[in-house]
Amino acid sequence: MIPPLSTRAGHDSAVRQLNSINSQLAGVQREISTGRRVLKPGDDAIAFSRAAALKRVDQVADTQRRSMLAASARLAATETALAGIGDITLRAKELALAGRNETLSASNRAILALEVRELIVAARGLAESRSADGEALFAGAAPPPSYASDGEGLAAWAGLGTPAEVATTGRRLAQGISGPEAFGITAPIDPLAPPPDPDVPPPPRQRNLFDSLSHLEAMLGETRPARFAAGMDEAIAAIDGHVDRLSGAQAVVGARAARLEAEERRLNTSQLALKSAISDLQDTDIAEAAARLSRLSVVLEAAQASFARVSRLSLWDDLR
Amino acid sequence: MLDLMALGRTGVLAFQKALNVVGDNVANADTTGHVRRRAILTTQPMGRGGPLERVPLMGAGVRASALVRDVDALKQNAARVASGDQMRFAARLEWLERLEALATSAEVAGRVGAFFNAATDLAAAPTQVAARTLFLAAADDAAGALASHGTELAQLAADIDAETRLSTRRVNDIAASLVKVNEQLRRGDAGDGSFASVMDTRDRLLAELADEARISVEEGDRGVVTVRLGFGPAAVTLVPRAGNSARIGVSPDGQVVWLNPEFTPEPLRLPASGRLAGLIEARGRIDQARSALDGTAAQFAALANDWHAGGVDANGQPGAPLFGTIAIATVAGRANRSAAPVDVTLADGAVPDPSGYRLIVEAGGITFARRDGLASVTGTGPLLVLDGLTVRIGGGAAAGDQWLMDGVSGARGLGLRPLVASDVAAARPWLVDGRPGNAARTLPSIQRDASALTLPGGDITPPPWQIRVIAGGLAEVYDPSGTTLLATVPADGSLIEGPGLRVTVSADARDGDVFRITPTPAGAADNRNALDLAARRLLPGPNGTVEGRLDADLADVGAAVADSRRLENAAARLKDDAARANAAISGVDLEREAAELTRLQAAYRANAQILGVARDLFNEILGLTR
Repeated sequence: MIPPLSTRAGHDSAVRQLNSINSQLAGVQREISTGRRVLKPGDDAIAFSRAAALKRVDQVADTQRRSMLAASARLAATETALAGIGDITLRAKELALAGRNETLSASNRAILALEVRELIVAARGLAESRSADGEALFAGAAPPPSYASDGEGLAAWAGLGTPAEVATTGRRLAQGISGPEAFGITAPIDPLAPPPDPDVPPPPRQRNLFDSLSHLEAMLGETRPARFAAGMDEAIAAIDGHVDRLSGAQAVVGARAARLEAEERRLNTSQLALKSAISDLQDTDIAEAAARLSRLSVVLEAAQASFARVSRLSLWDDLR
Repeated sequence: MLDLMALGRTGVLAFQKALNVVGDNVANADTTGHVRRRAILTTQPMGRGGPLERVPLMGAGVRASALVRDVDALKQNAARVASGDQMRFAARLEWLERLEALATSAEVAGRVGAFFNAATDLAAAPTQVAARTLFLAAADDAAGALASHGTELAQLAADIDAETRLSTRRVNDIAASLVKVNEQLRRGDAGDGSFASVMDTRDRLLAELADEARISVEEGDRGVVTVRLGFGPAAVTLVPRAGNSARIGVSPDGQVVWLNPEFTPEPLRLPASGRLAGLIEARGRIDQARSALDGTAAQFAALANDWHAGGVDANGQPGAPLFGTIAIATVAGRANRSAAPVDVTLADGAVPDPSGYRLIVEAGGITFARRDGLASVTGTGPLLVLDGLTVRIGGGAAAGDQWLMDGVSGARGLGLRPLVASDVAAARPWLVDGRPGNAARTLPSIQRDASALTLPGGDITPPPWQIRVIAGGLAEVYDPSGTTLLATVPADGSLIEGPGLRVTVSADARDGDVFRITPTPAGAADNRNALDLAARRLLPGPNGTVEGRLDADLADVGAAVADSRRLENAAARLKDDAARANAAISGVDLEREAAELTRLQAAYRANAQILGVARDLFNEILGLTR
């Protein structure tokens, strides 16, 4: 039996119901003004924890994007340096072909040798290129410099290890290319070999790019014709090999950069889907909330009006 | 005529009293626990007639014989029990909501996640001082999140303990009051107005008591009650019919209610009803959250320290532990007179004694001592050092003040050790490279292993090494110049033991492949250790990954809150229903009182008219004599 409003219990009960409608209204208003349906785990534990997990994945994706950006910048710098060195190598080849001509005088060849010297300096300079953070691009994981002159005056790789990596989904990509991969290696002289015969041209030796250019410079100044011919042919062949290797290195770096770009596009798409899923889980549906708000307002108004009406009726007014 | 006057007089007096009762009801319409009173009007007992009458032909009038409280004991009891149930869920909900608010605002999972993300940012720029500094800042934030949340939970537990003690004190106080009420009831007169108000007091106290704990009430004669805690044969008497009440207390861990706590504590098993039960349940839940957080913090610290030790820092040294796991908690003595500030710092790497420490200010100086009594240091200055703890006491300390210090581990003990940017171990301990013409697609892998001792063949020279693959699936390990052979090892992907490390040479290496393994130099740009942390983040421990555990714990709390809310709503409706059923009998309905008033008013007027008629008739008789 519902007690009448004239008793305390009945009155309290009616007021409690009004308050409950009021607090429901306040809840809907809060949902609309904050735009969030789920603010605390108690509102909807499952949605809250799902949304938290998705937000975490979103943040990991943001961080990954930042590191991929840094890696792309480093790869771009590497590609620029390689392109520069490639141009230098092509120029050196032109000079080598020009110098191969046996009719050139010694002074002309000396001029060519001077230009080759400058090319070597420029190439060594580009090989010491650094990234935005000051890391040497071609030294692998070691601190700069990338190349040092060894006892024979040759350029020896002073780097260690492989370049730093960037993590993409499921794989790690190297952020650059190490010196030996791009420029080749110089084979050491066998210490047990017999001393070279001064009249016989020495056998071909594997050299890195800078040592090949030094060898070319030395050959341009070579006076003995047999040695000159053999040496120049060796130098031209070596430079051809270096040109191929540099193209290969540029292709590798370009492929990695393209891979990072593709990865970034994929991240964009997946982050969009993530944000949409998070919004579905925790955001208010404004239309539905507004409808609920108007229904509750109507109910509250009616309840308040009827409560006021009924409480006015009292026998006490009619007592004389 | 006199008889008629007397009769009218009895009527007027009786109805006057009845009207007073109605007035009393209306005046107390809003008073809590006031039960509606009713005056019982009974016929006056007839005496025998006079010697001249044989058969008396009229009655002796009416009197207001008793004041009755309209009460239904069953409905009252039902209302009490329903209220106790609702109070239990309400108390539990209130504290669980506080726990939920603390856990949500602490955002521990988010800040721990930021630490792992900072490692990825570090991997993008491992030589940059700024990136290292930001990484240390993120580590500090993650440790701080866990430690401060642990402290908040400890404070919450202390708060709920205080509330529980208050609740038991209320029970004890109400029980003592009920003993006094019983005495009063024994002395009183059942039909009395003051008796009715003592009964009202008794019922109000019983309702308050039922709000705190489940009771069963047995009413004896004259309204004297025996109150038991709980119901059924296992119920313990709290308020006896005569004699003193029993006392209850709660155990220090807040989980067990004791009978007679000051002399012979006896654990009680109470039914789950009343605020006390709700507080105990909430405390249990908070303890669960605290131990889960401690477990997660320990897992996180072990993971981070282990990871850091596997790398080398900017100086080429192995990574030192990132996080310290012990801190000091200070508690001021409750009888302290002054509020002097005391600051305690624990030196890096120092371990406080398990028995704890005490700082006492005496007239002669300040003593800082271990609580097992084995070491102490005394001084007058503001600075005291013992066992790696440095205590600084501020001004204004009065003699007799003391503070207790204890080591805390778990979440509260977590903190970033004093590290600088160059201490961050982003690089792996060794750098491996191979000649460009190598046939092998992968480089040799190498990791630290304390259980490995020597290369095959007994050589213990550590890297730098040069590894040359020869025919027959074997490789030769040389010193860096390539002249001294150190060992011949299999080159088939199996683990090769070395001094403090294990190496693998991949199986697709061919004769002629050359590799180098070099210890990482200072200033190297390797970032592989920093990248490893991202993999470790996803390594599940016994209860899942660190972040997974934090998420699960938070979802747990949320589910408990939602559950409690639902139960509290249902219990509130039941309480409402029971209260209304009770109020239908015992509550003051103003309309009903108004109707009663009109009836009694009419009766009163009628009796007054009788008096008037009797007076007129009497005057007539008197008039005859003039």
